[in-house]
Amino acid sequence: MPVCSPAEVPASASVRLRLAALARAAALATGGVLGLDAGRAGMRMTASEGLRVDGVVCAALGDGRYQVSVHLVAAMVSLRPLADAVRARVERDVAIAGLADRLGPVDVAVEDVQARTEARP
Amino acid sequence: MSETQSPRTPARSGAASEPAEASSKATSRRGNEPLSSELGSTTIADAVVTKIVSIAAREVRGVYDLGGGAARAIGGVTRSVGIGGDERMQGVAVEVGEREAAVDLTVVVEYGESIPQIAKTLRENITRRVEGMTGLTVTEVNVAVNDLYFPGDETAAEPARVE
Repeated sequence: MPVCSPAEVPASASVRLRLAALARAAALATGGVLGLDAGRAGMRMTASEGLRVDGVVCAALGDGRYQVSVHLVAAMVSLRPLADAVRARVERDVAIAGLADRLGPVDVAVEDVQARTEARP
Repeated sequence: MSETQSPRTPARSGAASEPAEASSKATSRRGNEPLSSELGSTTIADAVVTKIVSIAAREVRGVYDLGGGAARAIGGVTRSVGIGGDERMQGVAVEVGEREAAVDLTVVVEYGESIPQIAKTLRENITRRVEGMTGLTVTEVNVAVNDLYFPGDETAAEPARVE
């Protein structure tokens, strides 16, 4: 089942899934982000315990932390400041959730840009 | 007909990334600075640069369409049967490196417009848009004019035989 907000993820869920949900919500809350992109095959996602977070990939680093990759669709704005803003917001929200020590690098991939009038597929 | 600017130099990678910088913890990176740090990397897909170039090219007065004759014809056919991709991407090829991008563009120009002026304006507008949005340095914009458009060239749609 696709997850739309961190509130849909139970506190008992895996750290991987909680990080993915937090990252997704943080990215979508950043101005200039129009959506997340799971790719044509839908493989850019994190799935666990019957739940799925599209557009975010969490990879275990082996030291207890997870590298989080956020794949997004952006508006026609400056993309590097946008990526920095997404990264900062993910780090902030993860810290607020008490998972800062489990968060590794946050990669931001801009997969597409769209004018606001374009329809999302 | 072709207009060429400078030698092609970007490092080809497909994805803009670089080994981590150990010393930099700053989250703000601008312009030509690396897209990677220990905090994470920023990747801008080739398709993003292609779309920016396509939109920027269409903003230039005198540019009627993008793409070669074959590309536009095939695009028209595939669109008509509902399998066409984004028609705005046709006629644009980009090479994206870690810090630089090079652009090849094929355009159809309106008859009566100055081709050198259009090429110059295309380079300026594309460079400004790509550099402004991505932080990549545009090293080269090659413009190929492959056709002229004459007003009234459009084939008038045949009237429907039935209502």
